[in-house]
Amino acid sequence: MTGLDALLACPRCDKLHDVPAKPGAGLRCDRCGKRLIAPLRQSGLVNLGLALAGLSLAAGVLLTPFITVRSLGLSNATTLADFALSFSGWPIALGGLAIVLILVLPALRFALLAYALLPLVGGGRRLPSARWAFGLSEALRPWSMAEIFAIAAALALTKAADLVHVDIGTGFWLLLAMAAVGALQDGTVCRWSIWAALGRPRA
Amino acid sequence: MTTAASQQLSGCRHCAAVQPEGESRCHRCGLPLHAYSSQALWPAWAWLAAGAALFIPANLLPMLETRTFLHARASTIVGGAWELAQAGSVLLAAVIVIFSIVVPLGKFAVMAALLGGLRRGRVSPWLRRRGHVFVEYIGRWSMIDVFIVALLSTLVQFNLIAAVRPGPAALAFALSVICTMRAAQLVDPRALWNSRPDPGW
Repeated sequence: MTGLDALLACPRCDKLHDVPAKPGAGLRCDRCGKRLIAPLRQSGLVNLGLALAGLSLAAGVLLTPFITVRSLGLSNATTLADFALSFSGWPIALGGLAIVLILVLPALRFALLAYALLPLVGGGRRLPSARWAFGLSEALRPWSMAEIFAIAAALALTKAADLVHVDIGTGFWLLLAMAAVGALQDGTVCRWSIWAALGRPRA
Repeated sequence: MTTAASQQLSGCRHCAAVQPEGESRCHRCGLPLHAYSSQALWPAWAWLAAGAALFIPANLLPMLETRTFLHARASTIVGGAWELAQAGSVLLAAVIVIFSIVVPLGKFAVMAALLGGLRRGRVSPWLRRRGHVFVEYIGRWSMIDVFIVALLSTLVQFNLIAAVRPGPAALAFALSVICTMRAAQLVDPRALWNSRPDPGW
């Protein structure tokens, strides 16, 4: 590694740092505190595993009942898709926006990440548009709100229990697991090493 | 302390790669490079103004409309939180007040202070260290109220004696959160860190 390749600039404060020579060594900016390189040797492999797990959990959230509501002897199992479709009139926009933020964008992020990382973990060349896919998955990060919805659901269920009998379904627990996988992925991703691997020329 | 800009280099905001100044795209990630010193502030001001403007109907219009056999009632964010607190749901009321009133107002104030500081070229150390992180990471949690309202209306529709419907404030509030999130994303933190420290804060 020579010249400018041996340097990195902190994306938060622009301070220049030397890239550590030792593989697996972490690096944190000593000016603003931002983590620049995660101290994890197999960040790509770990993140690929988490992305595939997140994608499977998202499919589970969509297909299994989120809650079962019982009222006056009637029982109704509701998936998250039913939730989005249950509105009528203008609140459909609100239901649509909610489902995009809590399920569509997190699932899309996991899929983009898996696409970008899949050939890299075996040391292969990147797939077409893999850099774009990873860049988009990073840009969508603040808009993925599964963990916020999970907390909102827990609070809403305590209030709704005053009016109807609510049983928590498998989909709710899968959503919690998906939010946890998303948080773990954010915590373990080494953007520097993934970009470095994606930056190698394509075959 | 050496920054990339002080060495006539461009650091990429996305992948941290370093390249000679004047390049338009990063050689590693292929994304556009932006010089933070010449960043235009008006787009961030425009998104912030839109977010603040939408916050007004979000608080004046009904957030939740409840209908029972006997009566129909519409409650605003503050009114709804007050009713919840009186009904004993103090935790839920506190969450709504914190994330629907305190956090958005704090976000408007911090964003205005950050953008004002960038315009003057002086940003306080507290603002650049904590302020930007607050608007970027905490601000999105305001969406919790919108999700609670949307879920309550879905859950309660199965109850035959009461019906709950989101009010127009829910959409205005969601759009206000989205506008302020966009405003925060348009502020380049490198510009904050490389402005002169303002001892006033």
